[in-house]
Amino acid sequence: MESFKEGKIPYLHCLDCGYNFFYPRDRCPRCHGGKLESRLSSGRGVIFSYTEFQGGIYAIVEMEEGFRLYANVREKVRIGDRVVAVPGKGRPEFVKG
Amino acid sequence: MILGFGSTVQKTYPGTTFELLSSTLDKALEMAHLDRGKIDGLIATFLPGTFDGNLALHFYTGQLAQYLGIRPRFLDYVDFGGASALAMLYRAEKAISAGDADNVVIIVGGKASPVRERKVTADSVDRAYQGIRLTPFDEVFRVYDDLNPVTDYALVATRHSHLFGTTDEQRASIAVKQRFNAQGNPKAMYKDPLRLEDVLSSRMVSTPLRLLEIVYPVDGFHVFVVGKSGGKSDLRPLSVKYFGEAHWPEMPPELPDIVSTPAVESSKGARPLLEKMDCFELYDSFTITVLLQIEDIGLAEKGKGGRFAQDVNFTYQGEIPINTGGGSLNVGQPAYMSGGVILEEALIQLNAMGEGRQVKGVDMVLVNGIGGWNRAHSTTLVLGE
Repeated sequence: MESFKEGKIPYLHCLDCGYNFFYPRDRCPRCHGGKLESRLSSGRGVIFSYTEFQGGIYAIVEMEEGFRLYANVREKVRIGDRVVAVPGKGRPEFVKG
Repeated sequence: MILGFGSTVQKTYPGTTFELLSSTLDKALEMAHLDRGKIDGLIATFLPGTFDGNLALHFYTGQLAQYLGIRPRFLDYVDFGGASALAMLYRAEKAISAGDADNVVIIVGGKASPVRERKVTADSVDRAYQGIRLTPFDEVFRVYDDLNPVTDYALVATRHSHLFGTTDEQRASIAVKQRFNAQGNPKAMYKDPLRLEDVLSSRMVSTPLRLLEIVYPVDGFHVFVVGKSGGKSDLRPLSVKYFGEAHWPEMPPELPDIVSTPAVESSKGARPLLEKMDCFELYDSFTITVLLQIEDIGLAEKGKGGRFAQDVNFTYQGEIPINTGGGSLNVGQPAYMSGGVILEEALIQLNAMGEGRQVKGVDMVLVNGIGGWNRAHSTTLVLGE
């Protein structure tokens, strides 16, 4: 979680089936295996969907490791745009790149 | 069978929540020709903050029973958000047929105005109250001042348009047709005629969803009374002809895509009955919610809900009537969960009580509820004799 505050995105990798996921659990949601390893994402992803409201942009980003997460985005984007994580207010935010 | 029902819905109720509930229960019992002493079962649902502004009542169903003077043999609590009311009806029938209770009251609603006045949604009450967590991993889940569930459904609408070319006009036509139906519903809060341009020019809340595509949270209750047949009720002897529920507990980013809901699964067993339905009551927290269910229950193929919304006359006068009373978009959404609104409208139609918006010859209705954190739950109910 410290890495999250520094703008880096941790994720969980299942050593049994290779599945990568983001929201914390102690079992792999695909194969139910318990051998999990915490890794750090490259931070690169694409916009899966987005919405703009009250001056903010809220999106689902699909990371290159295959998992998706809800995230803040700092600039206007479209579905499919390449984005990269940068340090934000206590958690990563995304910019085009 | 369903012996009686009643509702009270208003923008802001000045009295206590219990008074509001008590008077609504009396309406339902009057229709059922029952007194409170005969009620021995109670099922309710609750979202933090939406009963009376408090985040929690300990032993909620017990407190309701105490206040209402009910001595239950059977208590249950259903936690599916907007899909709860339909599951509660199914469970009440099962409890009665199993002999666990004779007469069960179902309670949906509350006084949501304290949450509304704090300018948060029920799914973001953590923004307004100290020390509240919505998930075990809020630090990684809670992003921005998201307006969940508005922003969540906005992500769905954006993606639906991207994949299938669904237009803002197609979604807006859902609001327009439901408003047409609402004009015949004395209980609707919004009854002025609505044009596509009105919806499309209303304030953007979360792109692409505009103000007139979103429900208004109100105070109110819906109470349903379920018991054995053979009583004094004047209602048709209606029962549950089909019930399905499905739960997708994953966070939506982890689903294969976000443009489907668990209604795909909960409605599966009702597919052979679709042709026999006289009308459909579909959960309408947003225009996109209705569009998703039109696809997921099988009225249109996935991706073609937009075209259906535009081309099919689904008013109460049309070929496939949907949300015949105007739905929650026009009645308002009591306690941020409107399963009661669609269930009541189904019963009104089935009992030919629809006054200015009655569909002719209604014998079977499909009701579909969506709810829970990020549309995790769906319940599908077919009601008939």
